[in-house]
Amino acid sequence: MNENRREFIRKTGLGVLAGLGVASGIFPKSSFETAIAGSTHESSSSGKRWGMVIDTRKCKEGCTKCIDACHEVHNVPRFDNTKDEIKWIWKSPYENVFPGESGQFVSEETRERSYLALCNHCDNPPCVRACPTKATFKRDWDGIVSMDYHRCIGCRFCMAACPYGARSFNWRDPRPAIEKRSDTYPTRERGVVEKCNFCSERLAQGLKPACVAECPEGALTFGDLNDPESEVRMLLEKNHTLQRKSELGTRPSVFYII
Amino acid sequence: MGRKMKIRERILIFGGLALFFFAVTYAFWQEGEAKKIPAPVAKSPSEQCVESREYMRENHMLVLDEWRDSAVREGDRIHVTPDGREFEKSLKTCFQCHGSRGFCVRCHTYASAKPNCFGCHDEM
Repeated sequence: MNENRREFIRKTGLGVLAGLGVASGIFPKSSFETAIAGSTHESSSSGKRWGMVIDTRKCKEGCTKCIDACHEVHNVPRFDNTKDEIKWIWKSPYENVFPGESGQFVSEETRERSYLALCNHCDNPPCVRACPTKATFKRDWDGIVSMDYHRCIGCRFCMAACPYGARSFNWRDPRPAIEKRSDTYPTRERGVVEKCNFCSERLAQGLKPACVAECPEGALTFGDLNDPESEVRMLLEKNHTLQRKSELGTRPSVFYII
Repeated sequence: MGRKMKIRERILIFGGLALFFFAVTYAFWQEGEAKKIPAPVAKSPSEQCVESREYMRENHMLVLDEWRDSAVREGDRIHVTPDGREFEKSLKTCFQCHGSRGFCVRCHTYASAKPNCFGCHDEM
């Protein structure tokens, strides 16, 4: 009897040890570690990476042409209360757009202006990791963080994950609130999240994003961040630029010249 | 007295049963045919669809699902048929020949299967 028990304990112990060994082989690192491993400064460089440079010095106070154009092209509904509000591109005060940058003694001119905000099409998008249905995904051929509205179940995890507030939820049926129906882009339904798509439908036709095309001041520049000869890269080379909340490691593709 | 009641009860019971069976089987007594399946029509019948008519009748939903996934998720917006014709993967392409959602609705109403495309895509 005693002999048997001893044998049993020995075998169990060996089994557990072997199991641990196999498990450490299968999971070399925890997923948390790999998430941190990517540095903030390098970018994934397969194919294109669409990006934008916003020259906030040229952006005129009170002008909403880019916003109107975008919202018209994409059938973005207009609700007048902030709870139901849907926005793809909007203007916000300095301390809201650059909360980490506020610092001391920022010039009044800089503080008083409002700044354009839109989806940053992050190179390391937290919303994509949060989405349980892969309704939002990063297009590996051009870096656009896209939405497949067919798959969105309206859980809003992506909205919680996005540090820029770039996503809006359709609490109401958007159709009655669309001012002028455009037939170049579908509408959405109640119960899905939506956001800027960097005008991927216009890019497919060789057009520039609506906001870029519509800006009378030429404050918005669009191009391939992976192409060192592109216009955006030239601007980044010549100017000091900011990314929103770059300390989070999301690697935004929208840059600001202040 | 007791026997009479029994007969009356029997009449009641069997009469009721007969009525019940008549009511239940009433639908099967009707003679006639099922409603006719509406025939789908294309605006320009001379043109060929992306696949054969038989294939499209049975599998149009698979074609649409395939188009949706490849266009939205892979950015592949052009469908090439085996004989080399090209189509943009879009509901608009369908409606160029098939007119409007009325084309879809006629059969779908008959089959009581509701397509949910038009909640977002233009009904035209």
